[in-house]
Amino acid sequence: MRDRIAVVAKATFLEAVRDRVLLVSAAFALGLMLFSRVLGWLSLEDTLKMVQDFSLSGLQVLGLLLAMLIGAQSLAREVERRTIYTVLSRDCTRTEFVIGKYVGLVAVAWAVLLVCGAFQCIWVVIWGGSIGGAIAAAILGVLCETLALMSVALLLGALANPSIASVGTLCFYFAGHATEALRDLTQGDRGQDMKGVFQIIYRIVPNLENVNFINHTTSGRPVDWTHLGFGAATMVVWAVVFLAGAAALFRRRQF
Amino acid sequence: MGAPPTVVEVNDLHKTFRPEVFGKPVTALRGVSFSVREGECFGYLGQNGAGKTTTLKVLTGLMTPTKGTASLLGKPSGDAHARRDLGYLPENPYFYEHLTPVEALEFYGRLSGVSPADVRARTPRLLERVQIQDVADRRIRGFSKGMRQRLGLAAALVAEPPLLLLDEPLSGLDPHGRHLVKEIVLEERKAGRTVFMCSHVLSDVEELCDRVVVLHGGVVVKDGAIHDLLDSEPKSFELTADRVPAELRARIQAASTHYRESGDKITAHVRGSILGPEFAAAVQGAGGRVLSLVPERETLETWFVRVTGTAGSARMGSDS
Repeated sequence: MRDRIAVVAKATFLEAVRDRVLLVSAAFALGLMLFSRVLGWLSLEDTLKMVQDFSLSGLQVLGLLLAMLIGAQSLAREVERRTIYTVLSRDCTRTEFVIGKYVGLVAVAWAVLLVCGAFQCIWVVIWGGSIGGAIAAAILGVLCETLALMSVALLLGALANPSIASVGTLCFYFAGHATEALRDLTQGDRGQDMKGVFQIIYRIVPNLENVNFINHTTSGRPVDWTHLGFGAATMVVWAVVFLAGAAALFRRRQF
Repeated sequence: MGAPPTVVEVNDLHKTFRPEVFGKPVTALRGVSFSVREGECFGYLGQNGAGKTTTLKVLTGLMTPTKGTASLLGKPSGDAHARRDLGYLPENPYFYEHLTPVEALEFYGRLSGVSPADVRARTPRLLERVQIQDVADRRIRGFSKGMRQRLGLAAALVAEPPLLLLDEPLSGLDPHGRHLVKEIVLEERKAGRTVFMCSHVLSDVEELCDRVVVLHGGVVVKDGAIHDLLDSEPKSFELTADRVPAELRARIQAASTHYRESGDKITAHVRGSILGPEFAAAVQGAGGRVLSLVPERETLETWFVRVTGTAGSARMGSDS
């Protein structure tokens, strides 16, 4: 089973690399870095803070874009290009195929994010910053967030067409970063009409803020590594849940 | 000695496609049953829309039947492990375009449970066998249809499976490629493998297969060995002769469906299995010279048109 998952993952990774996904992503990250410098000039805030904030937020957006562009389309492309026929007619279950695709896509996203993250660290050092635990935690947080985003993208991709799956992934991203705000809305007397709805959304949408450590970098707050560990564990659990859903939906598909 | 074991078993297979929202359900298979024995080269025939591809999709686990069962080597076709011993060449095979043939064979071989060392050992031999060794390290993206078809066959063979399922294996190939693929199919048969093939090129099926099943409108209308299904007696004769006396010429012309004279030579097309040899004997008896007497037997193609035409009329009658 592991062999087949590894084979599918390797092909998925190679496909993204040869389709120049890494190159385009690197160009995107470079653009962000330069833009952060421009914003630093225009902003009243400290240039270094601007560079750090914008670069790391850009890394987060890059993770989202990868999930929307390559994750949400992945299964649909296999069906559309009929490559699925020659794969599933082998000794490969649909669950193995979905897991293999996921592992390959996460590997692509992590490779892109790590390369871009490394460039951004250099960029921060150039502007007088130092590389400490906070920036490492922020990058690790983005990597953990990608675990959940990619699994949601695959789940939605197994359920709907790529456009809807991409939009759904985007909604999940915003909802995941706004869950704490939703919880706050249910406190006190505010939002009484929608209280029930907000509570449900708060409970079912994973809290992506659990792995968001970008503010720690810019504000110089110390990193609570236990918190990051907890956040990472919840992302893994959610990824497993979404992936199980994607596999269950994919098993029902007729080709 | 007992009959060879059954390799493919299809029982009362039904498949109905239900529309997601509006529209009428479409029934592709209506109780299809047949079996294929080990070592056979089996032809699965039918017009476009007869249900061949649907049957293949059920056999390869890409689709589940509405009713009925299908098994490969004794295991249900929906079970992925049943497909370990299956080499499948889909019609117009699609590959990961970014891979090279070497990488594609590694990919498919590993998916079928072949060890990396075995895949590495088999790949050069296979690429040579389908004659694409010169493009072994080129991306598939730039391949022609014929090259993809050859690679598809190599991918079907990489796990050395006992059962080959080939959907239109000769499609898109030039004459040289067609000859090569036919040779490979014959070699695989000789090696004891079972070959299940779908093809619209009936002369190829006639040349390669022992037995055929004809599907029409989702129903099996014929199932049998080719030599049993086709009439062995000639349907007609083409007689070519010269120095034929005028009176005999007139008799031959009257009995012919086509008749041509060119100087002293006549060419006549006469129906039935008796008249041709009789006229040839009469020409010789009257001092003439028989240049040729060619029997015309029914081909699989003419048989297929006749059978599916009859089945179509019968279905239209019963539907109305």
